[in-house]
Amino acid sequence: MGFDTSRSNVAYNDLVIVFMGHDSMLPVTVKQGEITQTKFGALKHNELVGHEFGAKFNCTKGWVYILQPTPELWTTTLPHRTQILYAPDIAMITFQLELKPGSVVCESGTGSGSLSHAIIRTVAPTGHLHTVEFNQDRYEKAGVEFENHGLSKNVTIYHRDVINDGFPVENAADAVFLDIPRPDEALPQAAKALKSSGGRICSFSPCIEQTQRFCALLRRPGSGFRDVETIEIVRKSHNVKRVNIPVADIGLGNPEVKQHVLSDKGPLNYAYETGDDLAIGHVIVRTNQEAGKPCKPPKRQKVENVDSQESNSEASGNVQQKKGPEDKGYTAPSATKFGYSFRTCIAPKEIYGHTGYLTFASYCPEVCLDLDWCQ
Amino acid sequence: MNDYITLGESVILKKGDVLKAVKLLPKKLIVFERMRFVPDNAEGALFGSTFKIDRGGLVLVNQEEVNQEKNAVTQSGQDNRGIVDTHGDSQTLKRECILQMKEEGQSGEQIIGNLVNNSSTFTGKTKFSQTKYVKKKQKKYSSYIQIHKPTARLICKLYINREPAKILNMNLDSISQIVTATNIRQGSKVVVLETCSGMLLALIMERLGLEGCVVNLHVGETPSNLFALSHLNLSEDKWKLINSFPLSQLGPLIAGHPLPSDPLLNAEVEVKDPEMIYSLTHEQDVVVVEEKANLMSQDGNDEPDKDTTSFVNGKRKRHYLTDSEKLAVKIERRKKRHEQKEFAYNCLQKGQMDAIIMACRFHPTPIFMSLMGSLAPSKPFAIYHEYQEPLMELFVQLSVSNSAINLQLCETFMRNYQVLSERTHPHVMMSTGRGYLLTGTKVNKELPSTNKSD
Repeated sequence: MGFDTSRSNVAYNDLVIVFMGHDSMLPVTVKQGEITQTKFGALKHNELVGHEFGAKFNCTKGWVYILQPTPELWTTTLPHRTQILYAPDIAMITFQLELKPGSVVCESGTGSGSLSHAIIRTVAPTGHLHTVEFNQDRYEKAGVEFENHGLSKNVTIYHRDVINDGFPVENAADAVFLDIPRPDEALPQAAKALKSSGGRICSFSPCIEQTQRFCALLRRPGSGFRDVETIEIVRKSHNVKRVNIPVADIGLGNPEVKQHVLSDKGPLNYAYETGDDLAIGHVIVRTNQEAGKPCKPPKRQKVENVDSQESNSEASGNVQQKKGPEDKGYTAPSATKFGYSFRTCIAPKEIYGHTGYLTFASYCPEVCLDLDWCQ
Repeated sequence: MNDYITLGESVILKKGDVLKAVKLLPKKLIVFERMRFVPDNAEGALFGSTFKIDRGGLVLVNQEEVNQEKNAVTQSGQDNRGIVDTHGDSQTLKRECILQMKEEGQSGEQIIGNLVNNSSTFTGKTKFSQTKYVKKKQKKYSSYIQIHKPTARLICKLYINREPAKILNMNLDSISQIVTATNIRQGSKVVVLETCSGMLLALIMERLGLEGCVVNLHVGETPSNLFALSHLNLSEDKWKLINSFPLSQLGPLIAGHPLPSDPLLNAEVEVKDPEMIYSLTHEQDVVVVEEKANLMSQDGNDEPDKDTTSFVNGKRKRHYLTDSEKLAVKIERRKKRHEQKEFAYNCLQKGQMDAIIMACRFHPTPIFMSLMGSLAPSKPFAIYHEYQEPLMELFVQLSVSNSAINLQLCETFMRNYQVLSERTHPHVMMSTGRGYLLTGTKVNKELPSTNKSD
């Protein structure tokens, strides 16, 4: 058991996700007397029972979080037996197939069960997933997983080749999903499984040639399919970081030069107003007295400067020192004393730039009209 | 599940790629893509059926008719070596001729046929180019429309294409990820703050099935409009799953203040004076969402405020209410709203909600940090924002607070493809600037006392 969201405490035979860090999660089935080794030491299953989901748990060498599994967490932690579908594609598939509680879905192949778990979640408790897998080993392992995860009520797995043997249901499915090497050859089987009153189909193919053959068949007059659409999704996950970049010395050491460059007519008359835009970043100033200690430049410096003419004479350019006690350490910019600090989103150097092409269509044999000319 | 078109319900009209949601009312004129018609003849047809607009009405069409109107293209060129840019002179049909054809009642398809026959360059074009030409003309002249069953998918697509600003420029990828990342399923208890005309709520309601609970946060005293949601033809029972709660009560809730009672509800018994009744009924009050639904998407919005319209034997009847009746209606409404508020208050206070979803134009950090207490540990949340910077701030706040893990700030790139034989390539135009999504899981930062550490 484990995907039941109604309980808030761990019980025996639950699947739990042990969270040790962003990239290190571990799926664990809680069994009497068992111990799982993590990088934070031993995790004794008996002690886990009764533990609140989402709370810290002490292992021998540190603590971890024990999370209730969701199909999305399962996707990031499941044992790979095949290439799997990831969250952005899964989200788009469940959305475009219009899945909801009560939907009947056919899937081929089951693979590692990544998408299957998300489908079952969405169609439960009244709907059903009929999933077909032609590999004996994958069929058996996925079947055991469904059973162990307490999902059997809403899923049936079949060991068969969809192209030769078809789906186990006829005129019963609201949606069909195909992730097989030759989706075009399974299209007649998919059409047979779909309800004649209407349904949706999706095929996932990493390569464009399969997608082309599949689309051509969907568009053939009399196929019963229409509104064919092919899309591709790439998700970029950002890391929020504070970055500090140095400000180069352009020779402002001489007070007279500095005054000239920073004056209202100089090119840098705007430069030290950055304090007003702290959301993007701010200038860190190091003074001689407090080396290494950042302090913000005074706000609205320039405006005040323009307002009070007389102060112009004693300060260098736009930057002044006589504002208040906290501004005491603030001095005019110079190369070694300045850095520009800001918060930014850093994209990983490499991402999944391509997973597959998703082709969607509606099946409506009773009312499907071929309105496209010249095809 | 009803597979047939019924008058009195909302449907989605489709012509080419253009979608529109309307409520089909008997004898009520619908204007869609420069076509005018009454929907009465659509009643009883299967959803997804194709209709032809004929003399202001709808005619169900079948495949043979469409085939008959097709022009079989016999001749085409090899490439564009013979094509000379004629600057519009290749079409010998003049604008006046086309207008005349329309007046004579020729169908869009006949006009397209004439355009093809009178184009001097058409036969010299390649087959692909011919297809493109006809498709372009179809977009303009076709008189076929389809009537679809309203689903969250079509409603989302409609808003994305027609009103992106009303849904914070969200695209399908963000919308779809929001409901999977938050593990929405039948029975989920969800806190929702959206300023997307109810589009997100529509999808959430579809995924909740028959049970669950939505705490719908809104700005101001009354729930904001939920036009998109109103197209789903939700039953009374499903509307009851939505409990609106004003954001302005969030602070008092956290401080432990009880929900203020509604003075109008207490005054119910005493109000007898007609002037008092008048002033109470005419004070600014927003109609409840269900009633708004009736008014929306109609071209002529002629309903006087707060009078109710009902259907009796397919005919519209309007009841003009007296002031005291209006007051009774208003009190009833307020009562309902107050009950919803109380229910939502308890939901938020218990701290056992299953998910938080936010997609609003407001600064998300103060709202979300205040809502965290209502979420049970180990439960997911998703916050969409048009801009990256507010989510960056929230990301940092959440990491510093140690109350959430698995934080991900994402941007999704989605590309549509034209997949046709010998003509496969990404669409020339692609959508960008479609916002950012922050997802994560709430955790309990305290070490539970029950956990004996070795």
